Amino acid sequence: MIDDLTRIALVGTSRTSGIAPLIHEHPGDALLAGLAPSDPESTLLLRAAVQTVFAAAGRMSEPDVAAVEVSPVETARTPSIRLVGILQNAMASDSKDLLDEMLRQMAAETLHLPHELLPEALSVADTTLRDRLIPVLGERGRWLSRFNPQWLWVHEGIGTLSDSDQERNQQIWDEGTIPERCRVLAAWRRSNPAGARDTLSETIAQESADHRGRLISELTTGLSSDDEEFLEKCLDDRSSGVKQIAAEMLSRLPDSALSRRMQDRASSILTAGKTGIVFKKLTVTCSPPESIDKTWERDGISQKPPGGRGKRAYWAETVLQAVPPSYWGKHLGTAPGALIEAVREDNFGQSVLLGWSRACARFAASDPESALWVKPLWTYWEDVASRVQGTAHGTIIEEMKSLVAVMPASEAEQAVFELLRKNHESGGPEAIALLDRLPRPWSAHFSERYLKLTGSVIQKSSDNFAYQWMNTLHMAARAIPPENFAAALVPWDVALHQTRTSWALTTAEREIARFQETIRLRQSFYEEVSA
Amino acid sequence: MPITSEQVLQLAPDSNSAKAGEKLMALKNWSDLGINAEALWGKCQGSALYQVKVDLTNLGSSCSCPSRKFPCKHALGLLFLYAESPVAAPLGEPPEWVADWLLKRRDREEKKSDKNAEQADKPVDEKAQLKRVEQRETRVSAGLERLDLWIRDLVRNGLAGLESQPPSFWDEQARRLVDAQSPGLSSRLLALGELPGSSPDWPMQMLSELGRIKLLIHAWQRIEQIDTPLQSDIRQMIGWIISQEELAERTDGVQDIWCVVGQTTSEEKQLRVQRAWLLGRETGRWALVVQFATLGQPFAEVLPVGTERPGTVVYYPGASEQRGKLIRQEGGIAEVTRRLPGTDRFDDFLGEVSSQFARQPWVRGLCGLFSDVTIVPREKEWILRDSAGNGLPLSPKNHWKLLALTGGAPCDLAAEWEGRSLHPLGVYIQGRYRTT
Repeated sequence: MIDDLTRIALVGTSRTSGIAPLIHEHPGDALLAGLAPSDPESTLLLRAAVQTVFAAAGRMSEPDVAAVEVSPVETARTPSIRLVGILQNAMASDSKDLLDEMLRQMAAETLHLPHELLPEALSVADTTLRDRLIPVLGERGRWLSRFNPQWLWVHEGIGTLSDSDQERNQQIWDEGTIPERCRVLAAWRRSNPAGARDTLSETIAQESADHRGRLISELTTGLSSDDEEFLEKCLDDRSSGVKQIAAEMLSRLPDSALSRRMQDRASSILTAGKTGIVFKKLTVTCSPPESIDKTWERDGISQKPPGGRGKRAYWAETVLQAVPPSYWGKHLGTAPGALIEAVREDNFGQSVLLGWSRACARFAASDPESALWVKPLWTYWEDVASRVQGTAHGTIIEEMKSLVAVMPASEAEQAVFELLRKNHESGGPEAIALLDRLPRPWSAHFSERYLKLTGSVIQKSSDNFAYQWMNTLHMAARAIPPENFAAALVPWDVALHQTRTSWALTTAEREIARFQETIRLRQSFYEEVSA
Repeated sequence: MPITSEQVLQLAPDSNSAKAGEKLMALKNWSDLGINAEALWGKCQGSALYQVKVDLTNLGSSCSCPSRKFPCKHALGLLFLYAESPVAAPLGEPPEWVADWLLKRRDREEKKSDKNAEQADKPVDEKAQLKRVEQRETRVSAGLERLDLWIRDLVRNGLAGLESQPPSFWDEQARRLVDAQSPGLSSRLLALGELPGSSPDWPMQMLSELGRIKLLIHAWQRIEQIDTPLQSDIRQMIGWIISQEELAERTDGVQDIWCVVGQTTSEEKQLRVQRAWLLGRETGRWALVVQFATLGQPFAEVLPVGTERPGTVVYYPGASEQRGKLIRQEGGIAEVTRRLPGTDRFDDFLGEVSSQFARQPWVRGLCGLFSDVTIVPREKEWILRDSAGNGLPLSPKNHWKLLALTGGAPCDLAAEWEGRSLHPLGVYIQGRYRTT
């Protein structure tokens, strides 16, 4: 055997006295005799050569190999060869937005992923991308995922969890990092909210404050009144951060005890009255308490406001943001616009409006009555924004961002466009950030207006504003719908602005080139997807 | 013919050129694009406006840019563009700068074959040649004797010590072999230097290879007792070069449609070495085409995987009839769109391997095309299974892409047998041949 020879060779023939006893008979021995080696070393080497050739020539295959089950036939459409290349580019570019769009579109067109990209796709770690991948994996992807334990996430969302998935998740829960554990908890919440909550409540006491907060936040997935008892207990947590998180979640449960406590506090803070003898003008007065007790603190309201703000203003804000704006319509019996007008001039007016805005962002999606507040609040902030500049302006834009997020798409686009148009004339760049909050893809109408505005920015705006604006191209490249591709690809003359400095020119040119490259990639994608 | 981006990548002289080429594929960089049955052309805006042209009959290319890389990024960019959007270049008559180039190209090809014919007629100074041969043989004999001594010393002192030897330990011997005019053996020895510590069973591999080198030395010392074809193999393994003229003179060329089923390129000391496996459609014969090029320069023959061309291959003289050269191309290249001839039984292939070893015991890689085989993943290894249920191990890397492509269904797979496992080269699925 070659193994015996190797042992001798490793030690060396000088240290093995007489190699013959160690060597087994081999069918090649006759051949070796013909080679007539003269010394032990040559014998060993030639014997190794003969046995190597014998082994290579006499190699047998393994009999009775069990076949694997063949993948079921794809029911979705097969993508074109060109689409394979496009997807490969998108995957390589590491652009999540782009992949997200392509995968969504493929799902809508009932295409499955090209088979050769499946191993790469199945190895994606990002959970939102994974959600997008599931509908386009096709029969082949689901089939393939069964062969690699790391790909079993594919089956997490489908039906019940298999035993091996459960085992793996349990292991991650016991030993994983905090983001991993949060992910497992969310997965459990999707399939079994009560079970997941019980698992969390068993170990919550041993976690650090930061981890307690992050884990409790995961209960947002599948949040229901069943969770109230647990969350109410969390209000007794030592950490004020944890209290705040639990309180916020409880406030989202309209019938929770905390919601009622907050409503009681709110109605004692805000009162409506009529002033004036003839016109009976409505006024809303905010009178926050001078001090708060332990029950307030338990509900996540700190004694000391962060960042050196007035504590009474802060308390008012915190209480108001936990109460659905629709409550005020019923409680004070007046429309949102009128209430906003009535509280503006109050000493604590700004705090009330901040509270209402945040409440609106929090409740508009689940409460249609509260959604009616979005537009009036936006109008209010828009008005305020036009009067201030600098940091104050930035803060207001932050409030507006959260309102845009809960507006219906067309309203949001209209609102943001108006603001941008005005800003483009007056020059404040802060509002550009609002674009990021618009739902994607943008509408064709909005995109058309955006492109026109961009053209005008290139020609007329100051270097600084144009520079900031160029940053929106990155976003726009991913948000503009196919209808506007042609318009987006027309050449833009950045040199038209007479006084542009050279760095502004280069930046503009570079950003436009990138923008058009992305649009082209998407254009070829859409061509192929619908082909 | 249609070409894929993957195939264009194979043409690139290095990865930087490939990247630069990909960047240039955007349509905005190009003007005056055109295509006909013979050529593809366009002008590319670089530091100047460059004229780029591609000969579609053999994928040769030219560009007016000053780059010393070949093909340059502009030619690659044009090919990438063509691969991604085949309709980007409109059908048309080639402009003068393309037509001239094509004409010159065809002229050169003709002259080349004329020259070959001429050279064969040149009178040879037989006496001087004989003397040179004698001189070399003496040097080789002396060199191999020293090598024999050295190898025997290795096993006398034990292979265990090799793991701690510096690279110079192997380089030194390799250099001596070059001095002894045995470059073939020299690179074989250099490859040995990579073995120690590379895998748990390296001592066994080392001993096997040392044994085979010993066998080669043994054979050289008795070369007059050996059949002429095998003699030729032995001389080539030691380092005799078969001249292109000698090859061109051979009359036993094999005419067939040759399909490129696999290709690897590696870099060795300032040289790029390309090994391409060609399979003859009608004869079912294999040819290993090995080409050399200095860095940045093109290989003489453009052999993208998944293409086929009618032509004549001659084999290097010897018993193994493995290494070949495509001496004539007798038609344009096309994409492989039909099944390739192969075997559906591993036992037949292993029988073929046996006969190869019987003819020539130093054989290294052998190629096979396996029809209707399936990929079987196991916990720690990958198996290729034939339709009779027999299995051979696949090379120890992961084969997920292959499994994804085939979905566990039978496919036609080309693979190189490396003695212990099959290294997949390409697979034919749904009318397309692609690399794995």
